[in-house]
Amino acid sequence: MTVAIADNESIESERARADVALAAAGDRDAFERLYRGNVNRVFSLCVRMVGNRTQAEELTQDVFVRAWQKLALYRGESAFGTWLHRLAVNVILNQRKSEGRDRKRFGDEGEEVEALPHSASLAAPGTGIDLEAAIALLPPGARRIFVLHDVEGYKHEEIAELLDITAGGSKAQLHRARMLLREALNR
Amino acid sequence: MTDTTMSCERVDALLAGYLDEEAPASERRAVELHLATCLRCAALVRDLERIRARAGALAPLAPPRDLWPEVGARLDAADA
Repeated sequence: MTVAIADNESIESERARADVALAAAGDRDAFERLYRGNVNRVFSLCVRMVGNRTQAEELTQDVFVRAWQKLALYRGESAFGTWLHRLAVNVILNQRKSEGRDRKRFGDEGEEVEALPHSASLAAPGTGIDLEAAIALLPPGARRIFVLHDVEGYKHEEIAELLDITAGGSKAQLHRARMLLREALNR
Repeated sequence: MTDTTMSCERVDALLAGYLDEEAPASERRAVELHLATCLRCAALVRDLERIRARAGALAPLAPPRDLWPEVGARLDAADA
């Protein structure tokens, strides 16, 4: 029922708003409720962006520690989940920048691969691999852009700003990512 | 003017804009005319559209363990 769903969503967002206010005043229980309500979305973003579960667990923790520290700056202009998601993207990208300061520029990162590597652990021969596994095998630069655009719904102009590349570069990397995924999924 | 003789290579070059609906209407029509008669390009577009749709519908993933105890410990340390 549409009305019932809308009512539930509105109750949920009311609760989240109340918890944000409590957490900003130092209420750890309220912050834990916010954590529990958002952790899967944050972890999904982290694991898909970095392609590594262990690193994603660390980053997920970093995001919530950062959120706790920054909560007083949240003004409620957007939903808390949206604010947290943006914060998570920044934490992930800053981590990559600090790791790769002496590497190549962000958008150029990732070797020129012709095809994604085969991974015996992903699937039996001939059965193909699933999309999650194939995303994890993408070169880092192409993977970040694919996740931000096709999974998370960011526009090329937003991605360009986040990654300090051109919108054209974002489009080219996205196409490359999709072609690599197609090849991997059709094996 | 609509290009009814667009090559597969030309379609490849225009595909990204076509898929993300950023191509001008005349270019879209030219690609669609080509797709109507080219099985190779039609299959490519179908696959890429499927990948994009599946990516947008991926379900959230849960962490393999509860991370809250570690987050809580880090908040304690940060607040100390």
